[in-house]
Amino acid sequence: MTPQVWVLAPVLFLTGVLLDVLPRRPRRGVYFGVTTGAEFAASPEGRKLSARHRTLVWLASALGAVLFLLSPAHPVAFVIAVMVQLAGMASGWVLGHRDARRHAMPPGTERVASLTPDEVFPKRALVLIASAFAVLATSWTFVVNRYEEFPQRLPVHYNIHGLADRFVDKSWAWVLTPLIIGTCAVALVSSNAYWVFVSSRRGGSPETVENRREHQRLVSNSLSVLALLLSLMFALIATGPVLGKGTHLPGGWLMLGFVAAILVVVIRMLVKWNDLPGGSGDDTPDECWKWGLVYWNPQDPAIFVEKRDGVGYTVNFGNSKSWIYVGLAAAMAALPIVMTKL
Amino acid sequence: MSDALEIRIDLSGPEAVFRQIASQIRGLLLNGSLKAGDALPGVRRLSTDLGVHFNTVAEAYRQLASEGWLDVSHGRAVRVLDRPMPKPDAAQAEAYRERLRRLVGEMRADGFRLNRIRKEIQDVLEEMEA
Repeated sequence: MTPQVWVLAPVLFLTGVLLDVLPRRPRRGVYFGVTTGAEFAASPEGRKLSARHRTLVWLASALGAVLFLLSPAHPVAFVIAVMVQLAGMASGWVLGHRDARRHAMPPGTERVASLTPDEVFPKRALVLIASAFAVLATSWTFVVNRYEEFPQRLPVHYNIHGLADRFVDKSWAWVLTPLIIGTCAVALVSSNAYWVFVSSRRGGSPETVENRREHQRLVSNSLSVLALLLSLMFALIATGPVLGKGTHLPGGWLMLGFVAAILVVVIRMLVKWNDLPGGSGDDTPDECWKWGLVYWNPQDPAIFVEKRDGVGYTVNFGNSKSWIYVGLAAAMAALPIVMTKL
Repeated sequence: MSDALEIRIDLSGPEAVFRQIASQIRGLLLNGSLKAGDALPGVRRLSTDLGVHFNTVAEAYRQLASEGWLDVSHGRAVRVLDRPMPKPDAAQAEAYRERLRRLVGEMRADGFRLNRIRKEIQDVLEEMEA
């Protein structure tokens, strides 16, 4: 077996697990992007939809794995395998969504809202985000002050053994690239943590309002941990050529530790999200969701609403203010690409 | 402000949503749950939480501000004002009597007996006193 198989086969398996589990773990009372009530998922009909989705995902995963194993060293073999998995999930979702619509329930018309003024963003999340930016600021200072110590040939890619296999000539742009990407990633994740807390619904129908704030706190706290882990990871990559062993992946096993920690945070969020009690839908009308994936409701002042295809939040594309967030997120995602091309 | 104060509205109810919001907050002001100096959620916050249009909550707040209950100055938090109780005049009393007459008429038309109507009014008054 080649090293590619050892590393990428478990990734394919994990992708299969995520594609199997994620779409079936939205807020309670929503199933395959349709408001069905909390009991539907456990009903025989609900279990049938779930079983079909699982079968399609794992059939596609098996097919993807076979295609990958035919030529594991080929640069696109892994990408094709993941695309096949995604196609399996998409077909499971589309069929599940279509059939769940027959059991759709209208959202209740009663609404409850607290008269407590705006709550303060959780202190723990604030400390974690501030720490993430402190780590990045320290790394920027280090890299700028010790530019001369960076090698003339900078590693930009590492092979499966953790050894650098692609290099570029040293320049300010390449030296700073990891920090530019890291800063944008941390800014994106941190702003998400903040906006989810301040711009999504606290109230709702009496059946759904319970623990809604807990869901937001869970997401904000988890994203703040992610922001700190990302800042540490990118700081390690950025300072690696000076502090590390030259052509080895900076941090070695520590880097894998960061990836594992990020996975743990995501999985923990996933498990806790559905375990929080309360929920009989999400108070949004089904007709404002396109395939249960894209929310467009100009009548709803909420900027963020709970996702219907997994854990977390999505924007209300029908609210013009959401586009400010989308624009900022796109700018932060595009900035590293633009900067490195200059 | 006492903890966990909340309002409940019915989007499909016969009464306009902004009136439901205004009358519930007014009720909390009258029974002392909301006191002078207490802060209320901003218009954007409350409209997001209730899932209603921004203007609906703004209209409810404007109505309460015009009655002297709230300070809704632009750019500041919405706060409860120290509102002295106005002296009712005869014309107002007559207007309220007319509204009550209409309400009692509607209840009778819906089959409520006079004893029951008297009890309902008594309960509301006791709730307010409590």
